[in-house]
Amino acid sequence: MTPRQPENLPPNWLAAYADGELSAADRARVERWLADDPAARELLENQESFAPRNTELWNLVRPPSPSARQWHETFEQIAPKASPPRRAWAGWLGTLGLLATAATLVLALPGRQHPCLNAPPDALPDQYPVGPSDDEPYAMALADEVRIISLPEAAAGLLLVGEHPIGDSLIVLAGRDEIAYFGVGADFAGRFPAIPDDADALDAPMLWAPRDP
Amino acid sequence: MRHVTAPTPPERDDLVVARATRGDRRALEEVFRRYREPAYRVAYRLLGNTEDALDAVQDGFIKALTHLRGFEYRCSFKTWLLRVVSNAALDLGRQRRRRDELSAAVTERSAPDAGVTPDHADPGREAEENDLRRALADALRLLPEAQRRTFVLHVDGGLSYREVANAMGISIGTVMSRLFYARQKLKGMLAARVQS
Repeated sequence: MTPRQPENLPPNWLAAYADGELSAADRARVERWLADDPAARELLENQESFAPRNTELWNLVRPPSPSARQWHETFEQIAPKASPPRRAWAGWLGTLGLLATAATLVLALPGRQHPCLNAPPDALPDQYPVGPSDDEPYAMALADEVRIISLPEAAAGLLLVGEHPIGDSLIVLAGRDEIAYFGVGADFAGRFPAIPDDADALDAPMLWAPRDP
Repeated sequence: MRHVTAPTPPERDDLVVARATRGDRRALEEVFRRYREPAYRVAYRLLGNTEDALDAVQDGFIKALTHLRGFEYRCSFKTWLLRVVSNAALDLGRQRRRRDELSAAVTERSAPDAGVTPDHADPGREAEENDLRRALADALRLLPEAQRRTFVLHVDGGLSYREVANAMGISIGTVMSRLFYARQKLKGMLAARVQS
């Protein structure tokens, strides 16, 4: 009989497990991990304490409801400004604006897009192949987003552990079969890994790929 | 013989929002009625008091409705609205801190909120709720802004991981990571008060 391999999942998965955001297969993996690892069960308890499903907590700390008068006043402030009046020349300006926008889109380099136009993939990513060659170092990610599967001695020189320019630790490595990604998706253009475009996100993964996988 | 009429299904968001932006007041009232609560909860959790939260809701609704061209229904209106409201709340919070951080904190602590508290039946319970709400607000303020916003959009806005990712322009994995670390920190700060 082959002994069961222990699950070695990133702890972030416990958040998704507590929120019911994992697929059935991934839930089963987490449950095998929880069965074997008391520390994981403790982490899960922390996650469950502040998950939306802890309705006892969220009912206790529910924000006080505004009065009917406050809602009414808020609405009356919104109503006159929600649809700006159009003037006779607005149609011509609108047409010119559309032409200018179209020209910009044709000429512009790929840049920042509205997040709603930049939807991440549907499924939680599990593991992705990471590169076209076995020894080409090309990826950077936060330490909790990669797992080192193996690192040959010859590749040790490729491994950097240090400070991220914006404050987070990072590692730089490796090649196919040496790392697996967790929680990293493709960007809107289908490139993997995603190139983060949220300037406010100081803890966003910092990733770079020279060409499509 | 009794006749039962099936309830009319609610009008689709995109249709009612389009009518609202063409100046249809009834449609605007409907949009406001559908989404004012999650918008307010998000703003309140980011700002800590009713008056400021309603200002952020007001600002957020106006911007969300007048900037629809950038939205184009690629995500739900609710996702778009909560993105804009949370931005407005964070901007307002920064302005408020610059204006008078100390007096804002004192006002929040000493004066009862102008809103109607959820449960007045038991004064002891009400005090406990206020106390816990303040402790949670204090703990949330200590989180990095990106974590706090992700947490609030998920918990108070009721957005799924994918919707939070859409709202913030980040990957689902980043949502997962931020929620995990936010909760670990909250548990560390509020361990004695919050049980799973």
